[in-house]
Amino acid sequence: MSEKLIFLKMAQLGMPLKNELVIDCHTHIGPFCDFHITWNNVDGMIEHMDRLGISKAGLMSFAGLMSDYVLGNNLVVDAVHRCPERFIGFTIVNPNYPDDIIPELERCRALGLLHIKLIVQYQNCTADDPNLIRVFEYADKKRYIILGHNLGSEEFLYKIALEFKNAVFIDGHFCRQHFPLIKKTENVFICTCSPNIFGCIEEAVNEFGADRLLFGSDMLYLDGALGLGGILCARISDEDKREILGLNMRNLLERGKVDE
Amino acid sequence: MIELNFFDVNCAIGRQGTFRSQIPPDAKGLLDQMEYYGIKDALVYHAVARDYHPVVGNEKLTTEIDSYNSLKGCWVLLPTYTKEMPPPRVLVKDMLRKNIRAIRLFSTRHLFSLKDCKDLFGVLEEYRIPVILDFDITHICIDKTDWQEVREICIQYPSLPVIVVHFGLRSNRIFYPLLSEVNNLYLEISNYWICRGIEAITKEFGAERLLFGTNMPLYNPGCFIAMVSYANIPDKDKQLIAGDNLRNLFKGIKTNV
Repeated sequence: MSEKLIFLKMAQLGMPLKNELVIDCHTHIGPFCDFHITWNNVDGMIEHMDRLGISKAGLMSFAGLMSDYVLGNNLVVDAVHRCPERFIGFTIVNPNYPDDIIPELERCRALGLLHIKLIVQYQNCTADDPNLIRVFEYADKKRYIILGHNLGSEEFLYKIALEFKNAVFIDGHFCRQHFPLIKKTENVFICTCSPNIFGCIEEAVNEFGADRLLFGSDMLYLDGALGLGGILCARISDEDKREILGLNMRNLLERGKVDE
Repeated sequence: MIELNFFDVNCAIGRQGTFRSQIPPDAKGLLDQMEYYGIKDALVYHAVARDYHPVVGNEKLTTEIDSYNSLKGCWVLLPTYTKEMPPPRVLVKDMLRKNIRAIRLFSTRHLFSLKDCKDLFGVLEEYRIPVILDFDITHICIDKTDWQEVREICIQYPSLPVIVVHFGLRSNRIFYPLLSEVNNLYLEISNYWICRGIEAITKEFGAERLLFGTNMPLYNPGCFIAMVSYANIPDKDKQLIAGDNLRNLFKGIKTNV
């Protein structure tokens, strides 16, 4: 079987990727008010990850999206403490509470959450909210990853990527608008959530290569297999798939450990 | 793990007007993709029938898929009041003669009410021809499906297979009650992305209610192939969702009424 078809075959048969490094950079835990998520706790997450062969997941809460970020961050802390080998915790902050941004980041850092999730559009704010500068400064100082639901315009993301060089900015939802930034920066990455448009993975790889793409599923919101299948079946090399599935994220996580 | 015999209930051929497809618009273009992804059969409608006019598009479809056994035709219909199409009985006989297996209604796009399709639904029910209802989603989180209308159709025509495509992925609190109330409602998965959604519906209502679809040429089939193959359900249920449910619906079509 040709190299390009091995992962495709695994997707067709539903074979867990046990012998591959798969790190999902973008997952959420907990119930959600908008719709029913049947298996929404740590056990449900682990069960789904094991079924797919996902080794580790970057974890953030649903509660922090548009409700109580402290409640949500505590859920993530509990999950990370329970399964430290499976979860990488992300702290959610809310620009509506600017004076609590740094205290919450520090609190969560002490509890093991070493990266940041921004989802300000759900919090009735914008990506260029002035209260977020302190977040970027903190991430720059601590070499954090910032995973953003929407990191604003191309111009804005370029500006903050250049200014806060030690932070890593992950575009959380495969925004084509940010593709041109990949070649102009070193610290902007693209999460593949979700790869539902025909040819989108191939297009991204053709445009800027595989080394700045990160597999992200958005589970427990979206099905992990949706995001995984889009990559496994893509018409790109297995080497590129391995980078996207886990090697790129592993490198990013190693990079962040310099300042721990 | 088994090889799944995928039958895509939701894909189109024909030149698209609102985006440039990466797949060549003809039947062969679709078949090449089906071969790559391992999709055995597909129920196909014509993009021209959706974006220009059903009469023109349906005729193109019938011609363009004629020599391809793995492509089954789906006509796009309109209500009869404006007499743009033949009366239902004439239409259905023509459909069956031309091996058209299902019909699709774009009530939102084509600006009509499903309430005005009673005569059509009555005849389609007699023949057990599946009806696909497409409410023309613009964003996966915004559901334009008229679920109340879907409910009324399912209740009023209990032997009519009603397939809903492109419903909003957040709508399970709305359609769960409906799935428990009626037996002739089927859901196509290409917009139902929620985590373990296939597993949850299978366990609650049975795998018979779900149909594999890809929304090609817009969507990436790999996503939905994996959603079925990795679902935490028995292999026999995966096979039903992958294609056998649709095959069973087609076996139920009555050709002599």
